[in-house]
Amino acid sequence: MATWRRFKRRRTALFGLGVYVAILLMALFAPYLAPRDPATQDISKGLQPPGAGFLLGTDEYGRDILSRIIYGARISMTIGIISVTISAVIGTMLGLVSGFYGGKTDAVIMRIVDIMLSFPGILLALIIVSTMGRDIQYVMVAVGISGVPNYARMVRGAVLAVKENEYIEAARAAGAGNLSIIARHVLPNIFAIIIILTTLSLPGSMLSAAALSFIGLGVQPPTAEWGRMLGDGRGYIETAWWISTFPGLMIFVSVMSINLFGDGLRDALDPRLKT
Amino acid sequence: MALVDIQGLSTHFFTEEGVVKAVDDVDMKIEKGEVLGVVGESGCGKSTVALSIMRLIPYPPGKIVAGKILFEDKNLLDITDEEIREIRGKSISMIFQDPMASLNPLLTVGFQVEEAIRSHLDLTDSAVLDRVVELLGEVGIPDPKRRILDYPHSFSGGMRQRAMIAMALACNPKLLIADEATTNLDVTIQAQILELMLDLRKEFGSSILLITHNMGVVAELADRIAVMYAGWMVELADATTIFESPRHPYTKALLASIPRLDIKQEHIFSIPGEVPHLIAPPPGCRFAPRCELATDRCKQSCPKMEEIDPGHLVACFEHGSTR
Amino acid sequence: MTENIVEVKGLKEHFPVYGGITRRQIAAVKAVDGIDFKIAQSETFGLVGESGCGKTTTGRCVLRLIEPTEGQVLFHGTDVLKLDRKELRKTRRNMQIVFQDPFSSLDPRMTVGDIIGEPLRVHKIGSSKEQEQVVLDVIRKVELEPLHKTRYPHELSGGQKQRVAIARALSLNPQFVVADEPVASLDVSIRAAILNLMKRLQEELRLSYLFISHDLSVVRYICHHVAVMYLGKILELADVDQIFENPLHPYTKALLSAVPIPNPKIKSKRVVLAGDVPSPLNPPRGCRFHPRCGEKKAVCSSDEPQLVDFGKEHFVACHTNG
Repeated sequence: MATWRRFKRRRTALFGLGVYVAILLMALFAPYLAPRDPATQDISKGLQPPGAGFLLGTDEYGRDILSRIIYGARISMTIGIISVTISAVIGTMLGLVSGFYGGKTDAVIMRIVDIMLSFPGILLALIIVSTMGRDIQYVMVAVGISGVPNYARMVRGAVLAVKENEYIEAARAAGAGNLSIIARHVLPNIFAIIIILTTLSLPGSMLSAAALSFIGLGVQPPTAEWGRMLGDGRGYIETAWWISTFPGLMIFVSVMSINLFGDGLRDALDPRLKT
Repeated sequence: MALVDIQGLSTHFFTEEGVVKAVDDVDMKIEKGEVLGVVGESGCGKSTVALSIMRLIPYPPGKIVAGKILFEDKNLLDITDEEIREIRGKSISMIFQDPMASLNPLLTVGFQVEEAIRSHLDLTDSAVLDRVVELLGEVGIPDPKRRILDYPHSFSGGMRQRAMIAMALACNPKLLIADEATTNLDVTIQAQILELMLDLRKEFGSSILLITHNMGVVAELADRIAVMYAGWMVELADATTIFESPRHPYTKALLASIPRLDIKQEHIFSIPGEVPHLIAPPPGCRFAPRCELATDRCKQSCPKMEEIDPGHLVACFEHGSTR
Repeated sequence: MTENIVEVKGLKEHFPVYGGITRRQIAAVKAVDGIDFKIAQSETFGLVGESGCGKTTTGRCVLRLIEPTEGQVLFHGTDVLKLDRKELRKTRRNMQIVFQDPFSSLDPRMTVGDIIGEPLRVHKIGSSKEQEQVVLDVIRKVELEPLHKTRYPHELSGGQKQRVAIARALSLNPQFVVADEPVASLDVSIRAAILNLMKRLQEELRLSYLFISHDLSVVRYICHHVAVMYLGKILELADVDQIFENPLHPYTKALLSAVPIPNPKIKSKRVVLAGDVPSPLNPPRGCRFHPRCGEKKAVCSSDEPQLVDFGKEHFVACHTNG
């Protein structure tokens, strides 16, 4: 496919994809890769700098940072993927209905979206988490919902553009009903936009999740999660820099890799979008 | 001496899929005060020739790779960016197919015509204003004093086109390039614009390079006609000769495929096949795959434009064939 | 006498214009304002006019792609506008449409085979094998190759795309096709091919066309009867030879004289109309054409003329002629 060819030419995009896949694999095979159990505490070995024995050092409880990072990948990846899926599914449905049916439905849905957008993203997630409870599943729901307005808006715009095309009218003339038209004509033609939006939202979601955990509202101890680890290491920045730095680095690397991949994907799909 | 002398012009577009040879080795002269019509179908290169003259070919992906465009002793392809900007809008102006796309919706029409004047002529404010009102009146816009304060969206299609013509004529250009200028207009409005162009040509004496795919329009206005196909020029002669004794098979086929308003036709001829892809055109004559008269020589070598009668040039090996 | 497949009576399409804080209807765009015409079997009926005349809207109304404000559209005697959803769906199999722009009328994500076969799938006609056979049949009818079945629209030329659009319209074997400027977007030499195709299909399949076009030369070539529209009304209606050789309405005469003839020796004696094509928001009182008419009389600005038969079924709506 021409798209794949174009994508391959962008080295940075491939690099991004490679890194992200590597992190995914790391998450998948965590039990085999991590040298130690991430929750095991050994105060006697606490606050050790990176070196032999503990490749990335230990935190104040003597937990191996490396193992926690490896296991942390599972949490971060899961949160990222699931929350984006929630945003995508709900947001797409809203955008689809709003754009396709128009009229009052559109007005109502867009007003709701506007209200949601008037909250800064993290605030929305914060409200949800503090009311529902702190833990992974609530973090995912919170971050997922806070991503809905963006999806709804973009999907609605794409649907409006697709609706302008005469092939929609042709399908109607052939006797197709609304659901058939949405399923066979609208969705395939907005698919590219949804994919791009998803890859570009993933970093944001991961950062939101990390932020929530950083301030203590997300993942609870002893679960290892990069944002959490970043927060926990706050007090030790000068004495034991490795506790925050490595998780922070991981967040940075994973977000960057998705951004590079997403940019490349968008550029590769763009010419097709123009046709 | 000709006003514009185009020699061996080749403009190519370097795209991801390959090199599109949009204009390939074209020679063309535009005399002072004449209307030269350039006809052809989509992809024939006629608009590219116009943009090449104005040096408005977007780079990337387009580039003028060969040739000369001589205008008043200068090769337009050699002069500096500043010099060509001096010429654009002043000595050579252009009007396009879609006036809405060429008019800035956020500026009043009067301001845009003013701009056209100010960028080239040094006149006092009141002189400029007078000239704007005068121009709008000349192109047939009623109540020009009031209309200069209006925005393009309150003008109809025909009016916008007139405004564009006013902008193009603001500095009395020696050459006006009209690229499908009436294609998007209703037929009665098109008639008005054609009349206008004929009047203006008489009054100002400018040459017009009239680019169109409409054979009726070109029959009305043009003194000479150049026929282009797939990036080449294939025939060039005065208007009467082109319509009454065309020699290139494509010209003949094109004329035979036009539905006529004035004649009742039982059947019109349709040229078999498709216009070739300009990335990998066939070796030899580009029209050969669709030509009834094509021989092996036609399929292998490229015919060049030859003067077969005074003022009548054809690029065809088989132009004299009576088959 | 051939039966009339389609009969349009008193068709009106008024689009409301909302304004003000209360969003009430403050005006109406009278796109189509009371027209009547008949189309017989195997006949091509041309609807001509300039922008804003209502011809495209008429085409949509006849197929009920938009709901008319008033009037009747009889298909084999049954009023299409009164059918319920189920019956309408069945009738749709007999009435199809070909659009002007081959680029936007074909779904870029579907193959040619899928596009042509969609009407069959929607109406659940035949098994998938039978559907495939019909698709291949129709592909051949429009002079494309079976191999085109798996191609995507962007891989086809303009002319080929339009053939696919025609094939899609034919897959349900309709009796009536609305063709809305079907060749306007095509190159001159391709137009001839598509027009010839349409003519051939008409003969072969006994198709009737409502041919909507602003290009009078094309209309002359392919139509049997022609109606000239202006601001939502039909000003003249006659058989094609009458319209072109003996136009009676001043607008028709002006329209015909405005078309540049591809013959440099003929400089047409042009009737140049003053002013612009007016907007259907506020049509002039009396005869809609009178502000631009060179032959008007006093009565033209107050009384709207009705269509009158001037002999040989040549209808004209004009006070001055007759």
